[in-house]
Amino acid sequence: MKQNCLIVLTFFLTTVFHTFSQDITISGTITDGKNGEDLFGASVIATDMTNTGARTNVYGFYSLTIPVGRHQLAYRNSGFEDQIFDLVITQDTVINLELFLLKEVQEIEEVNITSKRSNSNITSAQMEVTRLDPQSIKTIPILFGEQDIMKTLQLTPGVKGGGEGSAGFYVRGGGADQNLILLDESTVYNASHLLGFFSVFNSDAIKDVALYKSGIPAEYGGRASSVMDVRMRDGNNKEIAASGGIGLISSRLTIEGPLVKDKSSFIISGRRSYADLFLVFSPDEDIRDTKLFFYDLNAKVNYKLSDKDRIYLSGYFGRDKFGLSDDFGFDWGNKTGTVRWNHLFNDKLFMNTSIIYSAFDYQFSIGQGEDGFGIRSSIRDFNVKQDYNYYLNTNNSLKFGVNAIHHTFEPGVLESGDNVGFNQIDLEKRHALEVGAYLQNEQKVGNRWAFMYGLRYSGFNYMGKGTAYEYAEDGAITSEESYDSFESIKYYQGLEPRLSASFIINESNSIKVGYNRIFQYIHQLSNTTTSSPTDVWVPTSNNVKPQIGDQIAVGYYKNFKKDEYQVSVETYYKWLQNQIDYRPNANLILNGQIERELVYGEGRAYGIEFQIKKTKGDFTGWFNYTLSRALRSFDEIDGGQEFSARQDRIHDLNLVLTYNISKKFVVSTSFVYYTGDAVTFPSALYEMDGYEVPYVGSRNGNRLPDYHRLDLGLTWYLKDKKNYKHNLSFSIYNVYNRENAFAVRFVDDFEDNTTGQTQAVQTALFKIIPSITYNFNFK
Amino acid sequence: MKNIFYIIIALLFTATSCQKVIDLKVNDAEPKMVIEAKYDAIKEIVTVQLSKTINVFSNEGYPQISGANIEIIDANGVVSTLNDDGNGAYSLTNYAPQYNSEYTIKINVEGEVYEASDYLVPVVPLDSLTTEFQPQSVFSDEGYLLSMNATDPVGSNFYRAIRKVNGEYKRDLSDQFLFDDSFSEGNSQSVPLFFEFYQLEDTVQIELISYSEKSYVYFSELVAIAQGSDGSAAPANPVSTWSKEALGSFTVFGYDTKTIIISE
Repeated sequence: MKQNCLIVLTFFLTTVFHTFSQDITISGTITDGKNGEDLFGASVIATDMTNTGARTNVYGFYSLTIPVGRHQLAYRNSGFEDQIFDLVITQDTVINLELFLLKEVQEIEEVNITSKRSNSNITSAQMEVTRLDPQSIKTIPILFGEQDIMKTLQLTPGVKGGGEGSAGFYVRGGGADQNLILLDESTVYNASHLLGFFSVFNSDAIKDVALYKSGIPAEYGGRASSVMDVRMRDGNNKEIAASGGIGLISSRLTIEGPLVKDKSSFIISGRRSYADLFLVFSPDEDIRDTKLFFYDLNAKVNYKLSDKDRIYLSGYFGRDKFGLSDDFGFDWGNKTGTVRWNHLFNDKLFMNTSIIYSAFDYQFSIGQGEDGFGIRSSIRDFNVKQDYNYYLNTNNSLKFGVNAIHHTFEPGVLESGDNVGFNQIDLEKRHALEVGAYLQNEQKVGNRWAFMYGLRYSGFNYMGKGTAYEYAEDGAITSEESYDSFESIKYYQGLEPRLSASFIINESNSIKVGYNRIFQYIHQLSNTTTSSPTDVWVPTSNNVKPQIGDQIAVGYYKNFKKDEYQVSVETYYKWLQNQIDYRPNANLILNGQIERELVYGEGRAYGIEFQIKKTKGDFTGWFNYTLSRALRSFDEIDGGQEFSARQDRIHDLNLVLTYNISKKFVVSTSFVYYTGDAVTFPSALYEMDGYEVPYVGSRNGNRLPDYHRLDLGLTWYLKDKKNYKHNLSFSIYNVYNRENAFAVRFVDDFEDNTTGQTQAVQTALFKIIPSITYNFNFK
Repeated sequence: MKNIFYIIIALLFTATSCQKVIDLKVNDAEPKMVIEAKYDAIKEIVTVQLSKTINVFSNEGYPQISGANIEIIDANGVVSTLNDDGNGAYSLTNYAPQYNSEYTIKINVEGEVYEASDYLVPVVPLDSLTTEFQPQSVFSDEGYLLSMNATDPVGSNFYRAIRKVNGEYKRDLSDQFLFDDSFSEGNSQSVPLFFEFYQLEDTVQIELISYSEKSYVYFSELVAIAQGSDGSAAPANPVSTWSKEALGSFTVFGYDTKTIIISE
């Protein structure tokens, strides 16, 4: 049943920027008619012309320049009902359009995998971008039943999770620190909760995530391998609404609504886990005092000052806390804040200015008062950014902008009680200014070619106040020099070309190529093989050079059956310079001379990714297979021989299927298989100092057992009550109870082993885990 | 500190995690020479043990290498020869120490000469042992916490504490306690030994070894690697101090000993 009466169309006829040419510009915003959220990546197409259309930017704004005359305009967005108009347009026109979800138009309960709009993968110059929104992943089964956009991204081609117990991820053979993770433009330095079992992204507060893994647009810089751009929702500007979920180990609640109808809205969303609440049942008082939880809070307000100006304020605050009675405490968290101002100079020139704050810190405490000591470390950024979109004409749209980030690194502070006997340590803070400027054009040439080309300039000023050290081969300090505040110690700069091109073979076939070079000026040091909150961020300095990533990628895309099926093959080759590793047994905590623990080398990665995706109908899902390598080499490690990076998983396969059984039930499943991580094992044993000691073999020369796992999910939509919708979601993680290796130890005393012979003993974190979550929303 | 992370992981998952023996292939290395050479300046004895590495899953013993010619040379160039005691063991007794001097050892075996040297640093005195009662906590039952009191001399110092409780040396890897003065340079310090709490009437003997930096680094790395390298991002063998490719080290050291019987 179509309900066309839902169409709301507003015309503002303006003649402000009258032009004498035969071209006119149609501009405006495209929003979700249900809650007023801006739609990013929605398109306006002049269907009477070939290859002519525009796409909304992240603030929902579009601008399309076409000749005067009669046109048919189609407004489209994935999962939404198309709106098509026949219009005679004689002057510049503002069309602000609201689109409605297909499901609301057709009264279908759920559209599960809302892909990018049909065949958008075929016609845009941008290399394949993986986009997900929380709505589309709702029914995919996930650990503890908490839907998680980062976990779902790890099921897409080229993205590999850090393994169980790690929220870090790897994109196309790059390191875990080579992903720029942005939340409303703020850098998120540690995207994990509960040691990696949850990500910091609360799905209820997230509008959309885009993962760029090749042909990365010039507007992004700073990380060598990928960009994960997460945008928070703006909040419902039509009516007050609440939603939430109650799960076994965490619950969440979101409230949103208009402050001034159609002008201003807010959203506030919180989560807390309570795995530790069960500990109150413990008979042991100390265990009852154990704390283990996280919470986070997302909040955002926006205000439309006028048709041309809009202001957004958004923030995130999250913290993990772990404590054992009064003896031991460990907590960490991110804080981010963004103030944004959108301004429309005219119907072709859009500007956004942002002021951004971002911080991450962790602290330990052991013992209390005079008998205890604590260690803390942090990183803090202030960032100013200005971006322009200039819709020059039908075939060219320009983007340009500048930004500057001031970084402050606090490597470590030790504060100790008098009875402990430790000296106070306050490692010198380190400072840097990171700048960027870019210009990019997206150009259509003829009916078949589209190009996106741009250049980014990046610079990094490592500066005082502080001391710069120089080291000899063996790590001894050879010189030290003091610098005043803002005095430059060392300046690095680079030019980063970015290029994407697409060639449309026909309606359903296209080929794309992409190249990008990116400089990375800050680096994460980790002395464990899994991601840990104690991983240290360090700046490029007089000793540490910037990492440089170059990648070339080629893809072929084909759609079948009116875009119902999408098939793609992408292949890539990536070069990484100035990669960082460590001297043996490097100590990264409270080390004022951390740079002498580092060694530098190179990396390369290459692979091919196959994917088939079904995007329409009751039965949807995707299957992908990646064949790839990720290699590194360092003069100091195994004599400079090339070795596998930890994440060098040669075969990687993901399957995700969702089926709408009826209006009431949706079932889903996912299956994951990958080659075991490359790890370092002993290659011999010897006796020393009375101990049996392993002789360490070549770096990452061995493999953990292969990883595989099957999950199942069922969502049961309970009967709606007036303004109240609710469902129960059940999931089973690791259905066939596979014990996947988290780590392997070599010991001769495991359980009842009396032979004295060494055995390989693996630790698995999870067996089968069922869970249930109750979700609701009402208005 | 990375261990703290693992303790947390372990605590988190004791309920759900599971361990089992698996079949796994590892790349075997060629057998390598292993040399453990020590000069205990308090007992005035030099010992050397020569052996070779074995495969990880081997069920054979370590091959012990006899028939080597071994000499120790002091700072004055005086050469003394060790006796071959058989079964890979060599020794020299009544070898009097000269503190603040360098010793070199030369091992001629299987047609190769292996050489290494170490510096005998003065022994830092262990002033006293003290105890403090600790009530029951989440980590342990009640008992007495033992602390070592020593005055750290100016300059870098490197220590290892060895415990003997009721006549038995504590030899588990987790009992190993190597520390330096980087947090307490030049302080009069009280170093608590958190390994265990003692009960009344326990007899505890502490040997506080003073190492050269070279030996301290070697044993720290050895203990780290012996404890397992599965969590380390940069697992590596301890840096060998031998002139030719061989595992092990040459260490010269002295120590101060104190004994306490735990009382209220």
